[in-house]
Amino acid sequence: MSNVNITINDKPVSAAQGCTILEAATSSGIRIPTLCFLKGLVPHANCRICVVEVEGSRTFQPACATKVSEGMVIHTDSPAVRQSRKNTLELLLSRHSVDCHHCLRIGSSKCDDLDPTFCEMCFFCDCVREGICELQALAREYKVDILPYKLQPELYSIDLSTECIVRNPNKCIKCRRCVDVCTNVQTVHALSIVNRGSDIQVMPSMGKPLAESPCVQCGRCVQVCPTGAIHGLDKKDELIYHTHSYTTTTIAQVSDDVLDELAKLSKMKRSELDICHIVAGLKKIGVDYVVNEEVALSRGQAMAAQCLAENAATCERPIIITSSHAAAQFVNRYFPSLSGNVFSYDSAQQQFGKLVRENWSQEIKLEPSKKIYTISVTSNNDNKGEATKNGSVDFVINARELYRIFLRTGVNLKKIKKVDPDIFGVAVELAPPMMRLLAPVVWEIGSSVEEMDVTVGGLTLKAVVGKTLGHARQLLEQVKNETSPYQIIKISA
Amino acid sequence: MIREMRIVLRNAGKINPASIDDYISAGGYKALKKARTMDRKDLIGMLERSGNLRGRGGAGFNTGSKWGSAFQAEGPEKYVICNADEGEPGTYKDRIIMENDPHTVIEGILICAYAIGAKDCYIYCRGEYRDINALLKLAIMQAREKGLCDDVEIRVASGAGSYVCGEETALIESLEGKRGEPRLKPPFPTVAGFRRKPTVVNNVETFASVPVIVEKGADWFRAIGSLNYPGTKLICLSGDVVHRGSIEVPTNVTIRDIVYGFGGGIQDGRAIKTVQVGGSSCGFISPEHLDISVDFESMRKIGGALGSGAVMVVDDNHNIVDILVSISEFFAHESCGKCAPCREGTLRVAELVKRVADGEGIQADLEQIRTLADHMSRSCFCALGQSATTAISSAMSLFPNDFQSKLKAQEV
Repeated sequence: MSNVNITINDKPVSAAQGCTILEAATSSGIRIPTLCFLKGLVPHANCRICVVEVEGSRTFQPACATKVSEGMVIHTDSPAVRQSRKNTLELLLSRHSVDCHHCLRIGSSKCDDLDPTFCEMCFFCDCVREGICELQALAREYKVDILPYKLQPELYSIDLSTECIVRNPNKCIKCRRCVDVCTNVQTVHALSIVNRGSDIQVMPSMGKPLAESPCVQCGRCVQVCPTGAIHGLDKKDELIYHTHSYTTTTIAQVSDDVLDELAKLSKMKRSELDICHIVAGLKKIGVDYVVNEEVALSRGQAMAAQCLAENAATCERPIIITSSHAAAQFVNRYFPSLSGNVFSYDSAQQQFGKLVRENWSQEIKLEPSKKIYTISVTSNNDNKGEATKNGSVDFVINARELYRIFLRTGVNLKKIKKVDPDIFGVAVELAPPMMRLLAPVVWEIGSSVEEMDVTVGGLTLKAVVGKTLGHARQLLEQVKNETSPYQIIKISA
Repeated sequence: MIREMRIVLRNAGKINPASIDDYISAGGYKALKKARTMDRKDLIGMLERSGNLRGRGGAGFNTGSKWGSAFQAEGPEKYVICNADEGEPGTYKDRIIMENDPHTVIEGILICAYAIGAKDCYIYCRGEYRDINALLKLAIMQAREKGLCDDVEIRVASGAGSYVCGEETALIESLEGKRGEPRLKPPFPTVAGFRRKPTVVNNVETFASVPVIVEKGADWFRAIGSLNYPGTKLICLSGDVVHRGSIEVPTNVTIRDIVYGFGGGIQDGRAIKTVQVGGSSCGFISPEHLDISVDFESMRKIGGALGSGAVMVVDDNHNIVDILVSISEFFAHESCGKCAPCREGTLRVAELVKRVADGEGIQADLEQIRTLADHMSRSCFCALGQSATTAISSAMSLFPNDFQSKLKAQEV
């Protein structure tokens, strides 16, 4: 592919033909702020935050969607562009419920000298995005100080119907990331845009509460929402209460998948942070026992492998395996004829809950009079839905919430002394191909399915791993059309 | 006195619009037969170079270039769409054309279909035009019975009342059954339009002009009206004039001729204050520019726009702010909600203008309106948002005193 020569902020840049201004700028170290953009999806250019000045063009161009062309001269941070972004933010914020923003420390230019971490610790600010709202960050960057408009009363009621995913339309900025992910990546089609103009809203289909929509609580909308319009049900206060209490026993399981995000949030290098820091932090706030997920994960997988080996010969083909509650729901909802083929096995979280209740309570001689609370620390957002529906654990905490808990309780991950996790039980070894098939999957936009051959009960079977519900739909459509080449299909949400 | 010149409306009032025989006996469908004997490139070239027919919907894009681009686009599947979703306030020219002579539009569409090699055509008709919808269906059926359609299919689709669906990409989205919201451009519809296939979208008036040009030739057409925007233009005259209505004039006729000649001057002998040309999305022009002709380039030179050809006359009895209230409310109502500056901006502009008109405004409100107007004109996604504040900006620079006199008396 040939390159084109462009100029960004007076700096000559060579960019691949066909790439966008945003890509060209990012690859040459120039930051352009974005809000609705999600890497891997078709840009919508809705939010107009990434607008840049292209010389010779009457209007500002969205960097996320404008392709570079030879000789283009671009200004990404000129006063006019900055003013435009600020105006857009003022418009957005004046229609965003202000219960997070009333703490004007966050956006105030008069408080430049304040330590931002102080803002993030502010107890009055009850923003559910754990103080890491993208809108808030932009408001701070562009010094949105006083909103020049009449603030709107909170117009919409909060949807708590699923008991795990909370929808607060008052905080929605209509960037449509959630709709895009729900429709195009997960193909669940639970969310859509209704009405027009300033009455526009993201709504579960047919205007019903989320629990009555096709939603399977995969939680991916929570992951991509830039504000607090869709978030996991906040149980931090309850959790902290129980960890502090002397009359309860709390036991936590920490998954490695929180480390990346937590390091980023705590402004640490990934190499500086390991699970022992988290163990130390959790123990400091009063969690009695902290384990890593190795034992529970491997035991869940081993049981699945054994079960597969025993039944592989007689099972109906293809065997659809999943450890995700949301994925199983998805099959029931969209492919009811295949729900007989689904074989669910325990995820690390489910197995952990069972182990604590059935085995470890004796092993560690937990006092029978004390009530046990189980906490699962994981970045996988579909676990929250699973815990709510199955009651496998009492609390599910993702990286964001953990970060917020640590801030509130004064745990400084940079300074805390590491503590090794507790070890109960032993991990089970698994054959590598089986391990690969049953391993937890990282959800990512733009990922693709993974094929493999596995040997189960003496049979070599062609297997495939779908990493999103979109993959699941694609693989199960093949089954329906009898064109599927696979004997084992693993799906996850 | 300057007279009307009827090219597009040549049959209006003379034939029965529901009768194809009337249309044929008035010389109809001759152009189609002639076009079908011509080489496609020659036909497009005729419109592009010699005819210089420019789109009558408001953007003024060269029709031949548009067709040429769709003709050159690869692939056998192409579409022709007639944009009959007339929604600009004060504009009703397409309705007059379709009501009086639906066959001339259909003939234009069939010529286009032949030129670019399309087999499927759609007329996206404004939802409120229910009678026209039926009339178009009847006319299409008659043309098919006469064997004029060949293997080309024309369908009538009805809009659902959204103004933004007059924007070509939003129209295409709506036609595909999706939310009526504009698409990112490029790719333009001539490359990837309806069902992501090459598509020509033209206004009713543009299609209606085509048969005459094909029949009488490019040189004939180019001799009419202004050089850069030849032909005639349908003007919809409204506001404080004695005679309101629609007229078809050569494009070198001036606004003064239209207002005082055809319109018979201002009601009750009052003085003219301003004229808004092009509909709500276009600016007001000062009386000193009344001698500008109604062609695209001349209007652009004075910072205005011809737009859809609506001319709204305002006499000196009005405060301009009162007029802006309904204009800004219109845009707040019609914004599709896709992009943030338009969705929230139109709402806030309407709120602020209303406040000023009610005598509750302060100086800071005016500054905020101006800030928003500048912001929206540069940062909105589509032409709706970009032009939603054009009228307000022009009114603010032409009549600052109208705004000042409305402000709340400040306590000293």
